[in-house]
Amino acid sequence: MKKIPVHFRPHQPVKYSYQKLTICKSCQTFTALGNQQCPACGKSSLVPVEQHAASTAKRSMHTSLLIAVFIGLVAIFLSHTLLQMVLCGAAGLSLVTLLWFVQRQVMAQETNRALLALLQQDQERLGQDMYRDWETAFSNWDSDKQLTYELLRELSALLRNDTIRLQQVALLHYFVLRKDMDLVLEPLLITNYDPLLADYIGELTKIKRDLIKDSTFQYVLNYELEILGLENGQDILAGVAGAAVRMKRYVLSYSGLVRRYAHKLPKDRFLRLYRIVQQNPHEMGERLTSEVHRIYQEKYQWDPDFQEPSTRGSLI
Amino acid sequence: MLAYGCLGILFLYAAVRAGFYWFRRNSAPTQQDIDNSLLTILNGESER
Repeated sequence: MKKIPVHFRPHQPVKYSYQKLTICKSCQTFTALGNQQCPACGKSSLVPVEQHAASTAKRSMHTSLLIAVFIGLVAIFLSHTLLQMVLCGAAGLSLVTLLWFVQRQVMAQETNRALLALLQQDQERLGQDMYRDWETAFSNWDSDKQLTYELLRELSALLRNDTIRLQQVALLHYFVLRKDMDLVLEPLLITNYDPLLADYIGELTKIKRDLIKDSTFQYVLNYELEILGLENGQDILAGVAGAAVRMKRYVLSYSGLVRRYAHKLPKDRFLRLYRIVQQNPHEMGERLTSEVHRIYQEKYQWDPDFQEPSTRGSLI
Repeated sequence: MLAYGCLGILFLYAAVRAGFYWFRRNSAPTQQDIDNSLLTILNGESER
């Protein structure tokens, strides 16, 4: 299969998932696809849900203030003397100002309250709108795989299930993966074994091994036998072992994995492993240490790179 | 007299509203609470 070279649009990660969500001011439809127009009514009236909630909270507070101002004006209107009018005006103004000041202090909390109410009031509709967005994203699968992936990437901040993760992994197989791409792994890890995911992990061990972390090591260990059944399974596992070698902590935590595939490590990765074992002889465990020394004796005994003293941080 | 009565009503109204806002601010949901609620709505408890 010929792979497609792509340049993904910049992805804006958010701290909270709801920051991906927008709502149409006209028909109250939710969407997370970053459209300019509402997918339901077609109007350009989409605003972030936070902004919508802030407007709702402000409107409620302004109503309270207006009621207070109205009562103050009635008091002034009902005054008989100028002194009474001045007193009522001053007192009214002070009380309205106090109320306004308190409202300013609690604005953030009232906005949060309004936002939560907005999301909870029509849960069924929210779910339907998100699944409609998912269908919209998926509908581009045949015509524009890059767009499909980018849309699914946006939606995956909100819809967290193995199906959408697998769809993203499947799409990534159509692309030429490069080191400079904004790729992820941990959000794509699914509950069960999938050969496409194992293959993707194998690709990442070549171009972005820093994405291989604890959860990935655990996944690989859980499904090691299944991965070995793949044509390139040994290479994938050796790549993951090579990624573990970048930190002493990973070598310690996953020493069994590293030991089993140490013999398949390329020279630079094995050299790093050899130095970690040399510098920490009592921590690495007897089996890993003896395996590393066995490989050293077999392949690298006369290699000058292995005779030089290690320089810290030279190989990652 | 009516004017002062209105002023009293205004005072009570402002005091009640201000107290209402002030005392319920501690029970307001945090951004993380909102996020968790949204993810639960969309994915259920297990996938959150």
